Amino acid sequence: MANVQGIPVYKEVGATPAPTGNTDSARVVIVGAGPVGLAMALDLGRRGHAVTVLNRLDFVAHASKAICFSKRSLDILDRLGVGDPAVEKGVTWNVGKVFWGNDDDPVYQFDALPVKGQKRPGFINIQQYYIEEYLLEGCQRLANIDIRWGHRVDAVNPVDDGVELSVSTLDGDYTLRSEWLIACDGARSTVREKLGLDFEGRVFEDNFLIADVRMKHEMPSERWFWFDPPFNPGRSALMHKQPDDVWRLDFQLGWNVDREAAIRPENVKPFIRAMLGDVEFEQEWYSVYTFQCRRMGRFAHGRTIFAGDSAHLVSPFGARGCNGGLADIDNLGWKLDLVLRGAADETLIETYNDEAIATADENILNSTRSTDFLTPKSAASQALRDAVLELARDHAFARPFVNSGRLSTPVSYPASALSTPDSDEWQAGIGPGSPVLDAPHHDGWLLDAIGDEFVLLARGWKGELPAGVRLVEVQEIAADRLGLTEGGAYLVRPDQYVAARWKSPTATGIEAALIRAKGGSPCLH
Amino acid sequence: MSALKTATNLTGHDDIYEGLVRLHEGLSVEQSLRRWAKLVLILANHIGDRTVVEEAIDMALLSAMLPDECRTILDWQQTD
Ligand SMILES: Cc1cc2nc3c(=O)[nH]c(=O)nc-3n(C[C@H](O)[C@H](O)[C@H](O)COP(=O)(O)OP(=O)(O)OC[C@H]3O[C@@H](n4cnc5c(N)ncnc54)[C@H](O)[C@@H]3O)c2cc1C
Repeated sequence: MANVQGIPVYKEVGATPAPTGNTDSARVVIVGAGPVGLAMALDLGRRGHAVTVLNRLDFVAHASKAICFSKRSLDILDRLGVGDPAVEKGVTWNVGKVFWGNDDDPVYQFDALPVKGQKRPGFINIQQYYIEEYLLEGCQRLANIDIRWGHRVDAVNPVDDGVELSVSTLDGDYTLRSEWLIACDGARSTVREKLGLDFEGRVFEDNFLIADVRMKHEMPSERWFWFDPPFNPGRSALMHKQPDDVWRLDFQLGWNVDREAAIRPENVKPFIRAMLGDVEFEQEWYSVYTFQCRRMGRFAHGRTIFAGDSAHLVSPFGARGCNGGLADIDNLGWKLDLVLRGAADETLIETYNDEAIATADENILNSTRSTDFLTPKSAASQALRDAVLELARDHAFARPFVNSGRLSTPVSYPASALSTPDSDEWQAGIGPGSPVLDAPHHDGWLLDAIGDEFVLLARGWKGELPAGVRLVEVQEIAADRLGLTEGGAYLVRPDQYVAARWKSPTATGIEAALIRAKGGSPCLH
Repeated sequence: MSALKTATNLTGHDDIYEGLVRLHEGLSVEQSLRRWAKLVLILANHIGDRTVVEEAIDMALLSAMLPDECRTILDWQQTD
């Protein structure tokens, strides 16, 4: 298990000894210490639960994976207490520009943070291993999180009220029995495979060369995308700035290429030279990717729950992979917390299945559409794509058709069973099933004030609150963004999604909405 | 009720037809496809109502199909 595959190491951790005896038990086991597994562990750990994480490798890998982390992911990292190091290290950006041909003026541009006055930017770029490191440091501060490095899951057997895992380590194998299993073991999920579960979708017939290079280069921190640039004729390219003077250059290659040859330095160099001229650069990491969009039919299978790449895969134009995985754990964390504490019925987990699938479907839909724009499948769709680009150069009306990736934004669940439909008329604000929009709040920010429990955001409302709900009084811009008038209030879920809202709530109305937001469980504390 | 007008709604059909033919004079099939696409995008934006555009797409789709295929699509849309 240790590094037999020669994977580059970002940070050595070292193998965790196997438990003495050949059986062990745990309440919650997470398989996989990628960004999603670590964030899941940190969320449950912060809520006071004992969690055991099993990870095949015994180090944090230095791979070329996610770099674009969305505002929503930063909000989640903030909630987990690790947002600051990420934003300090990361390259902040909001603007994306799309170029066509050799024109210096963009044919289209967008702002990933249309509403200003929020704590976090639209995006940061940061190497995924830094995010893993910050999450790991968060986990290591909590004694109730037990991460076992170099422990690989080989078999999974559902048993009464839980799951039994066969785990192998360098110094022996053992059986681990767990009440709950969260499979965050990535695209090639062992848990999914061993349970014989489906993973349907489509593969896009295209290859992309990703060259992460280290160099000194001046460019605004923006996302730059090209269709048919002179340095990659007939294809596309993308350029992103990362911390440490590292740049991600992405070149569309087409379908019939020799992938091994494509990443040889002598073959990558001409691309970089053509794009940037005679610059000095150092190779950080070269790879060739083919993209897929897939998801499992269900994410919750009894007491085994899937989150992140194990449950869904998207093409990366739109940065919806890791951001989508973090949305999963954001949704699952508080629900599993309530179930583990006996404060909600196990059926609450079914709403994770529904809401996370809604998120995955929106992400897959968007990234499929982007990929279809980037890689037209027929002469007619090629003509349509090119017609859009040609028109966009001179006519503003055509620009919104340009699709180089629709970047990750939080997904709403308008049909969520946990939401109480509006009974008042609202002209403004955030509807039930959507995340609260951040705003300046006293000396800080609204989302920080909401934190990770149920809150009532109220404007001058007086009354008795149900147990387990904290009152946050909002005024001025924060109240305006919510469309709150005097006496009104919002009930907000622990993942900062709106559960219900009223112009003038009653205590019983709030109580009923709270019960509903917890899955209608009768056993409330 | 359908938002898309399907009763005759134009005059000068022969002129318009000729204009559409002229649009493609001297073009390769690829160039022609692109020009068709431009025209559609310009018209779609002018219409400014996505329901009308979507109904027009459906009508174009259905008119190219055999009656049996049509019915399957319509059934499928109704259960959606
Ligand atoms: C080139 C590229 C660019 C990308 N860019 C972006 C981007 O900009 N933004 C974005 O949001 N996403 C991006 N993504 C997607 C992102 O990298 C993934 O979505 C993310 O890594 C998923 O995290 P995860 O924790 O679910 O899975 P992984 O990161 O795959 O982690 C799975 C973990 O499980 C462990 N594991 C696997 N099997 C076992 C087992 N049997 N027993 C124990 N442990 C096991 C593995 O060792 C690993 O640590 C990109 C991906 C690629 C490839």
